[in-house]
Amino acid sequence: MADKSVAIVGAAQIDTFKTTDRSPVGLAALAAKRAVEEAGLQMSDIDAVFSSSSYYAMPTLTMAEYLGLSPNVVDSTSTGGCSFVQHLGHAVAMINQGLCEVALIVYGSTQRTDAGKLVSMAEQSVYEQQYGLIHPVGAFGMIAHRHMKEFGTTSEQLAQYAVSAREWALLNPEAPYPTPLTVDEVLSSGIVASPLHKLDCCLVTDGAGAIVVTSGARARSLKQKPVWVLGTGEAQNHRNISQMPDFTSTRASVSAKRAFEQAGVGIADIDTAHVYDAFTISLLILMEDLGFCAKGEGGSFVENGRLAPGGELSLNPNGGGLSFSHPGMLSMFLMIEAVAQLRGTAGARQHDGAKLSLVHGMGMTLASHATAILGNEEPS
Amino acid sequence: MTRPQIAPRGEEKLYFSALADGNLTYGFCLACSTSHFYPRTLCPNCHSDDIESRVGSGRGTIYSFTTQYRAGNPALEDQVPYTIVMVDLEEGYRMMADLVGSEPEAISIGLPVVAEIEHPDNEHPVVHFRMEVSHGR
Repeated sequence: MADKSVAIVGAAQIDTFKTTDRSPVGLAALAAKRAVEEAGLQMSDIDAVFSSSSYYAMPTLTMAEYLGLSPNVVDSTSTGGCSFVQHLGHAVAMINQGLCEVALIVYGSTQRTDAGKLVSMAEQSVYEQQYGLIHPVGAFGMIAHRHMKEFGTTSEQLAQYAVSAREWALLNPEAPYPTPLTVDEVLSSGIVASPLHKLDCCLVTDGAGAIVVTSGARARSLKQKPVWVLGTGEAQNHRNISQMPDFTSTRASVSAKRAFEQAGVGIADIDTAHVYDAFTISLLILMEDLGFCAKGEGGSFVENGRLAPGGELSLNPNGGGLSFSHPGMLSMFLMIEAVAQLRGTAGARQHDGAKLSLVHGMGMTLASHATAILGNEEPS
Repeated sequence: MTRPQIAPRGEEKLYFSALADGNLTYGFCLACSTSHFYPRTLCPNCHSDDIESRVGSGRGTIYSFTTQYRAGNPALEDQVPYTIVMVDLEEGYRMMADLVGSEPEAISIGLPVVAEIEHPDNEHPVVHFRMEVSHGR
């Protein structure tokens, strides 16, 4: 059987809180350079460019021009924050089709420097624009209220996740806030969109990240120990929050099932999980839909430090979007942390002997989903 | 300016002109007998284009809501805090609008609401919901 293995061979992130004198594309270019260099490759080896952006309507044209590249294929799939995990799945397919050999997936944002709030080109529906729903926190407030109504989830439980994320961040020297957080501090941080408080929401940061993906044949001869892409899956079901059929369940269950089946592993095999935490409630619902706990039990699942360092699962060990970095679209940084864990280079937050990682990105308001299963042992 | 300005096109314009006449319309598919909102040129359930624009009662219940303590648009800064509701209408569709006339503490999922149409001068009409049992404001 033909070798269909594909691996991540380079990964880098830069200025994950605040940058200076760098535009979004300029910052992204530096992340790309670092990722290519640490792979032991040259920029001229890149023959495919993948990007999504809140700044550039045609981001692969913008990126490739800035980098001086003329790629054979590009993909600017734009589904919100999960775009880069989708790009990874598409890169695997393109590499296996022979359309390209070395793919660069790259992203940069300066939203903290720009405005201190989410930068988005996303248009609003004319049927909803008049009401001033704040994207995305207003929609997540409605999602949280519904989860509370159906399952008895509490604000204290949501705050527990924010506290656990901060505990992880304290182990990450690049995280911006080096002080612990308490449930009371989350609950007294002021309501932005009920029932969500300021500290139920992710940080607003700058940051750029890039990963380099290539065939197994090429990966084996490169500088880094390959991180194998064992399975990927994607799914979606709405664009506007009003069209989400059930506010408490998502198609993350579908994308995860596809990725697990392809990888031939199950959720019990996962050592580290990297799940999109734009908000405490988004994390909680995704954990249910990915299968880490039963539907409706997310509230009790996040209690008692289960997701904190030393708990049952190494979840977002870099501190995640809530306490490490969230430059508008998070999934790039979820993948980069998974790579660090699987290489064993994550320092104080390293999960000892991590072999398998799950990355799950979501886009917009639980609208789009992409799951990847990564591992450091070569697939047989 | 009292509301974020919008630029409807095509079937979107038809919806807002019906609102201007005092009618809240939704899409009804004559092929599969399901309702949808926002109004579309084809049915999202069976993909028939045999769609009728129907006038709804405006009556429904709150599926979920959020009260925002920051404005989502500069035009609404003097309205803060304001509440946005997702409403399940009795004709079988769901729509989003704001809820007027109630204090945040009085709002909860499942309560009955009714739509009203406001039509400010030189602006597009806008739908609001109000609780059927008024809690005053």
